[in-house]
Amino acid sequence: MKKLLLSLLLALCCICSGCLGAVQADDYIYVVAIGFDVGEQCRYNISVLVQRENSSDGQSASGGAEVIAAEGDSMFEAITTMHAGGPFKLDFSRVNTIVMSEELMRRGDMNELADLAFNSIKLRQSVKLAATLCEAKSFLQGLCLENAPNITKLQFSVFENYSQEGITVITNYVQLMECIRGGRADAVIMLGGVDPAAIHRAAQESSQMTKGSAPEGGGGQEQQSDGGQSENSEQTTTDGIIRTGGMSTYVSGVALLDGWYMKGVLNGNDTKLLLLARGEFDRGNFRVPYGKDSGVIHVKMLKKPKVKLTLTPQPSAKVSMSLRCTVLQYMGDAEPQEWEMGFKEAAESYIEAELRRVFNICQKLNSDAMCFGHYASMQFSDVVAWEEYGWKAYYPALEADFSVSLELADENVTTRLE
Amino acid sequence: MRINEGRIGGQEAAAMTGIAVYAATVFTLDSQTAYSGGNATYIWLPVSIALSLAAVLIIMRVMQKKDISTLDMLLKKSFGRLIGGAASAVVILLLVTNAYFIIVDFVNMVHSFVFYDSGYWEIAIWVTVTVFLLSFWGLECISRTALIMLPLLAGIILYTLFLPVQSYSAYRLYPFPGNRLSEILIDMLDGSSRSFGAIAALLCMTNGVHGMKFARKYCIIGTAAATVFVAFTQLCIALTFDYIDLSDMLFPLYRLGMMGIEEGYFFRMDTLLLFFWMMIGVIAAAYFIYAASILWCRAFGPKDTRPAVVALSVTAASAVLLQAEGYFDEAQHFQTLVNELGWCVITLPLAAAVIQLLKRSKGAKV
Repeated sequence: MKKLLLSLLLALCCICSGCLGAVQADDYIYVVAIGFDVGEQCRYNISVLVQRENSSDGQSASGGAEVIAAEGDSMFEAITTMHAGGPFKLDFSRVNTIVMSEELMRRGDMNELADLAFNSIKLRQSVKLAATLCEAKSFLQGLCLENAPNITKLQFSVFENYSQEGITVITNYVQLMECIRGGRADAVIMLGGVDPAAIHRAAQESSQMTKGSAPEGGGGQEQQSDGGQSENSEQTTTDGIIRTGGMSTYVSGVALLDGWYMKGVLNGNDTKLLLLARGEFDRGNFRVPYGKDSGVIHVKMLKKPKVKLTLTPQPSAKVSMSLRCTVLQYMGDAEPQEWEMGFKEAAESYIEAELRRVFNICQKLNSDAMCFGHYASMQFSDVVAWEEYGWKAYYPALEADFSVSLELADENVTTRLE
Repeated sequence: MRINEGRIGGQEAAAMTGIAVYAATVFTLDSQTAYSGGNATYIWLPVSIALSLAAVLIIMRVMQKKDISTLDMLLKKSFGRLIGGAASAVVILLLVTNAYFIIVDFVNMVHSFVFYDSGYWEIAIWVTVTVFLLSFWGLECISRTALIMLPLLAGIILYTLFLPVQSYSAYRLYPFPGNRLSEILIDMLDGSSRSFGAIAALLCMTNGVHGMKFARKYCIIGTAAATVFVAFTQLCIALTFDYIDLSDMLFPLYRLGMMGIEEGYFFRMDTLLLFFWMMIGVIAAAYFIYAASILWCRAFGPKDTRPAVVALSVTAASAVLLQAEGYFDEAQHFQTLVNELGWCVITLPLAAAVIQLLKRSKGAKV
């Protein structure tokens, strides 16, 4: 009996040790995204998108999501300021995205992340990274505008875009650090922004809901006074194409990095080509010029591209890839019978030329975004020799040649079904 | 009197050995040293286990032929009472050190990754008390716990390795092999001291596994299975992380679970998985403490393993707490020393076996 009691006591000590110093779940507010901007008083303006557990007041417009911001010379100073100004304890264990403004990234301040003690605030190293053409704070606010904390919706959208269209990439902190410390390639980071028109529409709707009888012209006044941003002047990755509907925050394209420094951007279409060269493309559409008009083809990558890279006398790479395609639309000269007559060659040449163009953009920015360094490292058997070689010094001299082979999917099947 | 360890079956012996080998190699691998010369641990770590197994099998063969039942008897018969006792003490030290490495790694992990706000002492005592209880209740308790938990733990390891499958890339295995052959051989030798303790512990309790013949059979089965798991685990880690990142990583297997970036059912399982791995660590550490205790009793005379279990558990716990209380550099230095010179311990029972073989040859000539 005594032994049983002793065993029970010891078992309780083990099982219940987690109850010591317990904190109620509703004492926390959960941070789902962190934004970094240039500060006015201090080095950074750090904003956090927080999500409160939905309670009875879950009918609020932002569905329990809110952006809290504070300035500080480091992230921890800003967090201290935020803590001081709120009754809740910030919990960072659910952070899934860190967003940085273009200005910070161009001056290389992303290296602040390298000094961050992730464990100290329970931040996971799988946290995704994003660069924004607007302020990171505006980007996060854009996620609150809809009637839900939309960071998870954005994430779904990103995954879908990435896998179905290939217009952006997903890079997490571990992958960024691997690129920077390993020196085999440069990181590319998803690029986002805010569609100002959507903000104005939301503001108009909100204004109409609250004021009820406000005149129609009220929305126009707000448009003009909104931080001086106008629809035309806003830099977007959608090439200034106006869209209607959707969230104010969008993700499309990538930021190109050279080490810690952001050197340029690629739009959504160029990102497809980048992903093709990286072997990370799944499927997507390309508009191929042919004769006086063009055709739209749907391309699917079945196998990763074959890369033959030689380092001597001068680094050169030959990338060959085989893609399966379906012609979605023939226009003008591009007709079904033209596929074997010249449209195929035109499509192959077009993709090869586009790949070369994107490669040249990356090379000019000294960003090995196509990851040729991975293949360079395979030429070495010794880590010391590889580290001494210094791939990035040779990268500007790399000559890349792309070869694309298109294979038409069986169109008869779909035609008959139609 | 608790010197008789009881009797366990073959499956229990194999499960216990396999878990100890896996814990002693994968969980306590010194990342800084192991990955400084490239990403080829998935080759040299299994080879180092095979080397240890070969050494233990040689010793077992000699013991079987000379009708020597336990390791302490082999050392005494070969080196005499005084030197044999000293050699036993060195093996005991290796076993306790193996337990210490496992405990300290898990306490650090739980403290760093889960209970940040809790004190180090509380976590250390929580882990060491569990290890102590398991080893205090003896071989049967340890081995049966190992067998019961084995399917679950094997499944958890495979699940962990499956989680980041989209992140696997072959280029991370390059430069291959990364180091020069001589340096790889040194790595193998260093690594063998960890696995040797896990395999050789069975030599202290062969009576409990129905004799040397069965001990040998189940030692091979357990170690072979563990070697496959170790190779597979290290390969998956190598496919997921660059060698530079790995050389700075406290616990790569834990990081594997954090690589999932898509919110879903399998997201944020890493903390939960850590507690399953801790079961592996607790079973392995208890096994080492118990093996060291029974070797102590057999070599130096006490008839009850329990006081020795208490003494050695307190020793291991004190070492864990000391490294957290201002002696971290000394602990690191000690770890490096054991890594570099641990293989010397293997030579003691091997030399004893050779001496026994020579005695036989001498007898044959006469």
